[in-house]
Amino acid sequence: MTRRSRKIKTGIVITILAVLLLAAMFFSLFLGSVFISPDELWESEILWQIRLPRVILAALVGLMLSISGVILQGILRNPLADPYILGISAGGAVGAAISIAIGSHFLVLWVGSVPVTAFIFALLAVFIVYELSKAAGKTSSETLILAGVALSAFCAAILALIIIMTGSLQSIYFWLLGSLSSANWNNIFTVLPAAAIGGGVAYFYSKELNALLLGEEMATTLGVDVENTRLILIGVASLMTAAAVSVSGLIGFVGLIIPHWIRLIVGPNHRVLVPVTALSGMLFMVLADTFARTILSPMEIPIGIIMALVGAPFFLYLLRRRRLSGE
Amino acid sequence: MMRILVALILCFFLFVPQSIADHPKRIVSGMPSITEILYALGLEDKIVGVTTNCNFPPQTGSKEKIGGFFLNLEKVVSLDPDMVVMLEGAQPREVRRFRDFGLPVYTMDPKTVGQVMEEIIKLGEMTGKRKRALEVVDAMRKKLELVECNVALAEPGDELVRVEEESADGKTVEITQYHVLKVKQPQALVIIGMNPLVVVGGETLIDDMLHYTGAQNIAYKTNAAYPQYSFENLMEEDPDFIIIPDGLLRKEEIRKDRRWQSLSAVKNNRVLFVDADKLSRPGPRVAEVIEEIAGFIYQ
Repeated sequence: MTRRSRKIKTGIVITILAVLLLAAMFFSLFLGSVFISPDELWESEILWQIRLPRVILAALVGLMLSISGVILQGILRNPLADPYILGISAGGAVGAAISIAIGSHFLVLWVGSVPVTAFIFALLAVFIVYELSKAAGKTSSETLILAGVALSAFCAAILALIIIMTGSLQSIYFWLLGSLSSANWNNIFTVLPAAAIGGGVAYFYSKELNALLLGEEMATTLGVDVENTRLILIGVASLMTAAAVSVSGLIGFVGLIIPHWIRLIVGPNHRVLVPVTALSGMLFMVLADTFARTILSPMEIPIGIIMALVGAPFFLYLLRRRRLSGE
Repeated sequence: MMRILVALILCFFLFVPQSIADHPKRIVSGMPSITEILYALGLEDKIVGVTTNCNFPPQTGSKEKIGGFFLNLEKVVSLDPDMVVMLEGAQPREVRRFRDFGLPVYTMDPKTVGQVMEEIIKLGEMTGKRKRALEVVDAMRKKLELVECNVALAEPGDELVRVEEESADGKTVEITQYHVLKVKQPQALVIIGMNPLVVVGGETLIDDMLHYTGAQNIAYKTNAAYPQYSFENLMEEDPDFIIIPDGLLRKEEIRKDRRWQSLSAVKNNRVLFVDADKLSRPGPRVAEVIEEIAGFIYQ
């Protein structure tokens, strides 16, 4: 395929996805536990204060989690990496829960204490997992996943402990199963900077991400400052994961499924992979959340359940395929 | 004559100590509401174990603890109780576990304010505090009667409505006056969980408590006792009053969130924060909460 035709193909894919995303966001505004006729919808508070913020937040969370997945898979050179599987989400959730439990309220720039603490703990989690898995020189899938599983279990236990000691048991439900039910405009303004910074950095570092795929030495000869790049990218992935977790709890597998599908379709070039994954992650999340909030209405299924139902079998399938191919 | 007297005295000695022995001496409470009832009955000296969640009256702090949400069977057995009082509906697994072990478990399961009062009397009879129980219930009943009186006074019986109609020729105006019975009850909703929103449904103790205040629980029709509710439904139904247990969410959260700001109860400052313990415990303090809620609605 020539460079030119590849560019056209990418353009088409991005256009289609953008149209689909806008259509999905638009039509999901009509759905909810209360029926509102289309004529009245535009004056309805339910639209402006509940559905619209919720749809936008779903898109932002989808974007952040799937881009985190792309970044982690790129720098760890491991297609099974995902913020949820590696325990970064759980680390962030512990940070958020601690901040809520202590009840400290400080502001860093315009952001409240909860996402900031979540970010610090997510960073801590990612470095623990990374250091643990790096022991053998390069990060092997097994060690990486095992380290992630152990860290997740540990963080989930701490989270449950904090909740049992301080809060209502019901909030375990929110944190461990993930939900977008707390969506409002404030949440959007809280996570918007993280999404913009994360998406932007991932896109501008796509050349470096491509180089890292070839290995550290190769990347260095290509003129990439490996250590710094890695630090920035890990920081950005943690930032996005923490932002997502602090508004929606633990939602897994988005960062795993989406980059995988997209890589199969558009190939491993990050210049294409990053924007296409971002759009698909947003689309996927908007659809999944619309499903979550309408299918058993007025009851709401925590979206984390839906993600795990879809994502866990997919993860097992990937694991099996990798074993068969002898990696 | 002498013989009869001796027999009577003997009988007295035979039966009285036994009937005293019948009343439990070492009581363990498996729920905060039960601890409150036991204290109200004046059984402070007989209580040998309470849960870590028991915080009323404050003297409970000095009692031995048998666990929080999950009770410690070993600890309960070590206290050698002759009566373990538990809530059937709230802790069925613990009740079964304790019964299987052979502990003298006594359960109650009040679902209405009336049943709370009945259970207080029953427990009073079993523990030899019948008189005290009747006093406690009487005090509750007096509070409730006062509330019901005030509710009845606050509700205007009927209203005068004037309807003006133009006559057929369009020159004269006919005025008709109707007496219309004002039946609209204040609509209320009790929220007990956030993210997702969980509210109090029908056929629950709190729903029954609302009846006394003359308010109608807008979620009474839902099938579950404590159903999940969507924020959309909350906005659509837009209750006149919202009741929230303390500590569930902060006032600033309501102030900052425009979803909340669009509710009329929030706009009209009709959100009541009540003591979560008082609201949720089927004990002697239910009457106080009913008083508080009614006072808020008809202030």
